Amino acid sequence: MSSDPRLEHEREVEAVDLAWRTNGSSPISQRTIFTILFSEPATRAYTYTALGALAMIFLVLFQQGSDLGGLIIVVFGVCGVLFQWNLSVPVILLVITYFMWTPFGVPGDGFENRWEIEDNRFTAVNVMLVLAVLVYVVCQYRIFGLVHQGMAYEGSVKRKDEPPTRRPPNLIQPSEVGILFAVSVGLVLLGHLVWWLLNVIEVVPSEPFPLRLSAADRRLPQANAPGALPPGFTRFVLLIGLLFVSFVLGRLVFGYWRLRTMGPLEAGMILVDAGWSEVSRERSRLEKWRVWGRKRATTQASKNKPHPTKGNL
Amino acid sequence: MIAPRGWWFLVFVAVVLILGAFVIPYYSVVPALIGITLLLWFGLEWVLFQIRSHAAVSRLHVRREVRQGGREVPMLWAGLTFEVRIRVENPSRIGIPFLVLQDRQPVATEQVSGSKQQFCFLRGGESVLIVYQLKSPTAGVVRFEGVTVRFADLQGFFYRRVFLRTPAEYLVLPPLTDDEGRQRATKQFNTLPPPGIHRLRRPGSGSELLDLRDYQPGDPPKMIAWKPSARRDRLITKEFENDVPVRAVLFLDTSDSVRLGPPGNTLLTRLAGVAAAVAQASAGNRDLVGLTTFDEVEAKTLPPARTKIHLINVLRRLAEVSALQPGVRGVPPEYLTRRAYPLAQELYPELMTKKVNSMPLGRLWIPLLDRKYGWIALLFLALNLLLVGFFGEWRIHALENAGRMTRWMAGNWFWPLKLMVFGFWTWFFMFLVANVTFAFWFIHSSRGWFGERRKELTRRKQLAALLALQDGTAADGVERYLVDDTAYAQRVAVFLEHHLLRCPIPLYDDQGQYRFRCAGKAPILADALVRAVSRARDNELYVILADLAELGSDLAPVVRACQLAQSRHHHVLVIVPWPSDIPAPDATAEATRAEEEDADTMPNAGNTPPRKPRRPRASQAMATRQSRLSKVVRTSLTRQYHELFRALRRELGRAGATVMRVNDGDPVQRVLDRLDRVRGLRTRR
Repeated sequence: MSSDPRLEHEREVEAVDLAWRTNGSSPISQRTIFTILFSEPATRAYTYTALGALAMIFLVLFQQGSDLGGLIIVVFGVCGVLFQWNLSVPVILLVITYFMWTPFGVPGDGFENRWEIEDNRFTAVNVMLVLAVLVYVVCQYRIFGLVHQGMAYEGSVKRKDEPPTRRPPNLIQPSEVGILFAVSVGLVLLGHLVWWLLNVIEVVPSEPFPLRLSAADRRLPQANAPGALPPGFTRFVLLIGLLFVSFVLGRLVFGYWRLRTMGPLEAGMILVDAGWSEVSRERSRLEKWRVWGRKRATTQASKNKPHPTKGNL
Repeated sequence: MIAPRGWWFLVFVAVVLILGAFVIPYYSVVPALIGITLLLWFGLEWVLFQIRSHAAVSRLHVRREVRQGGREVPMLWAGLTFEVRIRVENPSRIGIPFLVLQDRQPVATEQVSGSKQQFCFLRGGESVLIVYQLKSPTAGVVRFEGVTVRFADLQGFFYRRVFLRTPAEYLVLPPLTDDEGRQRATKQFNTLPPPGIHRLRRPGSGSELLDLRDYQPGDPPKMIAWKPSARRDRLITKEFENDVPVRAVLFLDTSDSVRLGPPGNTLLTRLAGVAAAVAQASAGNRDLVGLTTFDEVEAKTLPPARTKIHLINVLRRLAEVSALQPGVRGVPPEYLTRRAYPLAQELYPELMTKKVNSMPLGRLWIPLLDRKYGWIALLFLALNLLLVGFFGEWRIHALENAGRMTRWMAGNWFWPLKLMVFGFWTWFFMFLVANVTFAFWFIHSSRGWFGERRKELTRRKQLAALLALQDGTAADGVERYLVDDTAYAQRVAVFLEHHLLRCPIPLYDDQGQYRFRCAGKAPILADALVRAVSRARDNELYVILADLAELGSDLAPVVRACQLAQSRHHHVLVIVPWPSDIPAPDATAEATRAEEEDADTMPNAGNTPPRKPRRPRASQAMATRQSRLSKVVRTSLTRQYHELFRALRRELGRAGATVMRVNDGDPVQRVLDRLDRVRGLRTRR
């Protein structure tokens, strides 16, 4: 069967060009990155979702008068999506924080409201903004994984010959973006709930059970229960406590699970290591004596060995 | 488990959360909400990662199949492509969205096609197949270690690497030579008997007339020579020569001297290739072939035979010896650690983590008293005690200084604090010498916590623990490998050899002597040769494939054995492997002349006017000097090797053996020609 060499060559070139679809280690150019972002159907959904989320952030900030902040966020966000700026996410988070403190961008120009926390429970604008930020962040990191690096390098420092490992677009599932939206909505609502809990629970160290729902209106200082911690400190204690309990719980559950799935070799290594740390001092002394004894015996043997020429002379 | 990207993300989220929840909550609650939501998302991803990691990744298992010629095989042929099929199964119900599987390619193999790496989304209960083709150019052993599994979440926050160990070794038999091509194409001797036999001057069933003798009752009538019987008037019987098989015994050197070199390209591999070709060609000619492998310790013999099974056994033996590695005697332990530690980390990642294989700071402490001068520290301590105990002035001065310092530091402080400060300074001045000694002691000993020593010792301990675990010697083994350099080096060498990884070995010892002369192999070879001669039935060909050039005066037993073989009318052919970086003796003269010509013509190349010589920079001068020096050394070594080879040829030539280089023409053809000559000879017993 004869085939056209030009056709064969074109096929080969096409195969090399499309290697990025299935191979996450193949090098890609900026042009290929644009192709992945805008022409590949699976990836395109992430790109447009990220850009849409940026637009939503801009809209909300614009609506509250932070047009400059919105613009900065859009510029950094678009650069993060298109050119894989690693700092785009942190910068956006810090810029949002800054413009929430001072909407017009002038330091000290912000307005402090003692009823801010209570007035802004589950408001639609906040929900939309947080949702947009979350969706953008998720999409941004997933885009990083698709076009830049999806898997950490092996060591703490990148080796010279170690290529970055991307997630090939053919692994994207059709339902991923849908799940992302659903999970994001759930997380935003959960986040609001946690924030509400942090603010409605009072810590009263003097009582037998030190936590209780604040019955009185905590906007006024005199409404605090006697012996209760101030609101800021309460939030701190609760947040730290929540994080600590979650972390300990997670470590306990997954630590136990890890023990359950541990192989015999790993378990053996733990025993060896523990045994060694117990007896290492005694064993070290013994081994040093043994090595010394061997060296001494060798030296003595070489001394006692008759000289090869002595017998002949 | 958390990747750097995850840590950075956590840091920024923490900053936003702290600012939002504690600094500006009354300006806007959005930063706090964003911080909490992102933290919740991170926690959710962590939980999902842990679940996938424990439920799915830890339960993955691998099945490997190696196919050659369209079917699964237990052994491979060198030079032919074989296919590796790996199926990774996920028996759990949890899917893994982003997984990278990579098979570890065995050393000394070349990838022909396919990809040994696969990116996949592995659903629960499903499997993924990796197929790729490899080729092993030379004989030896191919060892598959297993599959590296790298697993990450979709954002790159978390990462885990596991190694699914499925060790499997396959012998790679030497390449199958074309029997027809190796057989003689031209009929050099008209009197040659049929293949596989040669004539022996003993009465037998051959076709050549040997002798006439008187008829004896029982002789077959067809053997009666009627004409001589008529002439002599009594019955005379014809006797024919015997047809016996030709036997060739190959002696293959497997000592350390021929094991040196990169995997798949050692002198031993080349010699084994020659031996395999000779064995196959001889078998193709229906000649009997035997194989004796020897090193400095022992010789192993496969007696001559010509069956297919015997040939396969010979090839197996050749494949086994081709994979042998040089010993690492004399290699510093640090070199071995540098080679073995990355391998251990790659193959046993879960056993080399600090969680299960730790190195306490106490073991990194450098003990002062182990030093020869360590007793001086004790001397100072004793001196201080003497000062405090027997010299009142010392005590008074110490108290005075302490009071002065207390007044200066804590003059207005509350009296208990003042008392504490006074106590501190009293102790300081009273034991000033001891304190300085302790400070020196601490600085001296805590150096072990930093720098290269810490890394080296930690790696050695982790490696020692792994080896002790494999040996089953537990804590005792760990400490032995930590303290005893010899035991550690031996065990690491075994570890490296087990995984077919070579270690750079110093060729010369501290006195500048070549470490791989392997003089001990000469008596072993001589014994094996004498044993073969004693068992020989007729003229045989002994082919010695050995690196004998470096032996010098130690060659005497081999020379004597060759003389014995020659006296019994056997033929001895010695094939010496030739190092690839040393030019052949006949090429040296030409090469030297060419170099000289180059050197003459270089400055005036292109007829350009000669430039004013610049003063060379220091680095250039150093490079030039090194280049000249290395050239001189190389020339000297080449000359020395040529001299040794000439001496070897002379010595063995006197004993009747033919010596040739492995790269001098086609050694296989030379052996076959020699076999033909043996076949054509009329032998006398």
